[in-house]
Amino acid sequence: MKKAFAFLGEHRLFTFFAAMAVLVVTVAVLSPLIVPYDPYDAVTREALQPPGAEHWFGTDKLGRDLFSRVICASRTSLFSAFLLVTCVTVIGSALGIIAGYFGGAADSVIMRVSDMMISFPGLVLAIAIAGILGPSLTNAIIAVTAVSWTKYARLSRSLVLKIKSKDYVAAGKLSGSKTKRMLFRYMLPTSLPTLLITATMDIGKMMLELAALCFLGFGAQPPTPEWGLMMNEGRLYLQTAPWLLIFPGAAMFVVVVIFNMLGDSLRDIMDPRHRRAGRRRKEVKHA
Amino acid sequence: MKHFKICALICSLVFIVTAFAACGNSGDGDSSAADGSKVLVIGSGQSAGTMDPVQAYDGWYAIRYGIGQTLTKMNDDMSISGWLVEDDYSANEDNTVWTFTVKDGVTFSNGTPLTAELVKASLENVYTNGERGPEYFTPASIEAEGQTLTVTLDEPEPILPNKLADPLFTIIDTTVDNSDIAESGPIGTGPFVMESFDSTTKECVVVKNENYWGGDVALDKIDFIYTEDQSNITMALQSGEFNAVYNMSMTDIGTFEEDDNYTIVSNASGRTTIGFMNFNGALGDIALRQAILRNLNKEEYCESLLNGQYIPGVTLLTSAADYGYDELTDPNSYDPEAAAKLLDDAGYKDTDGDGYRETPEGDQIDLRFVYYTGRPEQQIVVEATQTDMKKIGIKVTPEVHDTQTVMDMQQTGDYDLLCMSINMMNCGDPENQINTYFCEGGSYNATGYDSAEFNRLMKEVHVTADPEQRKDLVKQAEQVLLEDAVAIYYCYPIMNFVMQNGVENVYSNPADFYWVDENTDINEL
Repeated sequence: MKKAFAFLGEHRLFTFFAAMAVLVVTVAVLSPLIVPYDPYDAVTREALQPPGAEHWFGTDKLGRDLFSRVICASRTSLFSAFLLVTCVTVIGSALGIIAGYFGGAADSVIMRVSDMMISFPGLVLAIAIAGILGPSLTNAIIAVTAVSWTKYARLSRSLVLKIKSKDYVAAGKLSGSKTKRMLFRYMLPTSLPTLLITATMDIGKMMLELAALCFLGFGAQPPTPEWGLMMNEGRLYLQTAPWLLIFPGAAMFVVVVIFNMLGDSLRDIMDPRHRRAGRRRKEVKHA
Repeated sequence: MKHFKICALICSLVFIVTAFAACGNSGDGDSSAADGSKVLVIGSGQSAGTMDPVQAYDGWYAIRYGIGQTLTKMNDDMSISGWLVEDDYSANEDNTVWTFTVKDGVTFSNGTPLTAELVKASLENVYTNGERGPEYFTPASIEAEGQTLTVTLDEPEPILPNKLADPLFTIIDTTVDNSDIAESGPIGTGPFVMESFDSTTKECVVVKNENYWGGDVALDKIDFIYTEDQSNITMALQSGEFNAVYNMSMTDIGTFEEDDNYTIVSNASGRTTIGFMNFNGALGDIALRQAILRNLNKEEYCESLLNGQYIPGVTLLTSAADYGYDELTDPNSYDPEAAAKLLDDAGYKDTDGDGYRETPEGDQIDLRFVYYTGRPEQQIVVEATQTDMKKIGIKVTPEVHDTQTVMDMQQTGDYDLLCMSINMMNCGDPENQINTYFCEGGSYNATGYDSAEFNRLMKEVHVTADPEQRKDLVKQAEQVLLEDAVAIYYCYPIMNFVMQNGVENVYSNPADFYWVDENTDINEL
């Protein structure tokens, strides 16, 4: 316990953003309990009310409470982003490790497919895939996964290639370790920290990509509360009811910043090079 | 480290704000090109699929863009008068032989004089190359002699002059090669000639018809730009990219009403925003249709969601025309409790606990509601319907497409619910549109609705000459539609054109297809 506190004390930036991230996730989990109104409940008489005491963020075009929708949207946006990052990390890393460890045909096939995927602009390809699959949040997640796994595959492949030539790997092989053990005992654990840092740093980016697809109408469908979709709906009221655009946008901005900074500070802690650089700076300061 | 990051964050925010500030542009309208020619840019959420007037509703654009004209014309009071023909048209006693005199001195834009023979060829073209002609009338023979045109019919056609005012019957020169008419447009008699039509962007540019028979044309060029995005339309008018805009949304029109730099012309139209219900599917059950109708608070939609710019719908025909808006009784007026009870009684129950009811047979219901955004009210009424239907446990899934796709889907019946704005009074008389959309065999009636009583009434309308009697029959037919819970009549739009000051003679009228003429002009203020 003491150690944990000491760790948190030492890494204040990380502690702060981790606490914020926990807060955001808690709000998302508990959103149905904490919102003042049902986010789907349309009171047509109260359409497009400006922010006020009764409706903190105002109401939307159908008279739904915007605050409740923004809070509930955190659930949709956050969890779909988590799911997306998980999918991308698992699929990408697995393929990368396989390609790197086995080499040969497996490597060629996986890497050429990956090359093919990155030869298109990511979001454009995602739009094409989502367009073919039909508009829904699940399909948007599939589309972004399809274009984003390559990064993890390349990363994990290069990490695996680096450690594959190490003596302890050769020793492991010589002592008769099976492939499964080699992959899960050596390859995965060694590449995991870097992959996790990348994944954390990607949460914000993935959230934005999903929101972009939803904004364009390829993701969540009305009346689902989702920030990208809400911003698209609000776009038509930019001049008459700007709060429809401002609040979902601000919510997305805050959450993305929190997760980006969290990823950043996590990298500072886990990446030895950054750690050393940080320490050096500290030493200079103390001197 | 921390300070560095905060500094970086602040710097980037400042950068973004500055960058966006630099994007501001208050461009002026392109009212005159560098060579001093007068150019008008009109933005609209509506566009043609092709420029061939006999295809679908594409004839509307030949008229809207000032390229073509019809034999007769609908006036603002919905009466009819001659346009390419003199006002002295007449029929025999039983309305089976109509005689028209084609005006002298009318020429096509290529200089060819218009004769009765060319009118005949143009009318015949509607039947040879188009599909919708027989919904209006079927000529037994058309005869031409000099400037006299005689149309003979097998059955009485008491409102033939009204029907000929429909853009389907746009008079075009058929002596030229029309094999590429869809792209290159027709040769018409209007004040403008088509210069280009982009079938992808739907942008259409027309230029002055130097041979216009009606006198000098004030403008040199009009550029019709199509975008279904309502915020684009608004902002393009504000930035000066568009000089005039058709059908400004109810959300933004207030902004322009308060601004002295813009002029608005508006009028109650012959339009009705209709939610078509496809009987081939779950909506084949009248109980479900009645429940849907009773669960829609159209008055509140119009007042609160559509800013009072629309009149709540009751009957198929608009309140602006005298066709029973105040007289007919709607058996399915707003009553959400009755709606839920109807569903309960008919056996629609939520058996799997997902919050939505299943059919009495236990099948899931998910009604696809197809709409387009080219008309500003549609997204609102569709989403309001979805929300209200959820309250009684009926699942509705909106599905947005562009206008042309929705029109195609309406023809093929690829929908459960479909929102469409229809000018029911486009000939100053509702007969044709009712036939097209509701009668058995109508080219846009894929709903499967086929009522013997309704068809009989409309057949009687077809041959009845007395205006009062026609009106009475149409009202009876409307009542049948109400009793059969055939469609949702959401609202009647008030149409508008918003333009910069200095733009003159751009029109908004009940016909909705006379936008520009030779007097349309733009002047620097």
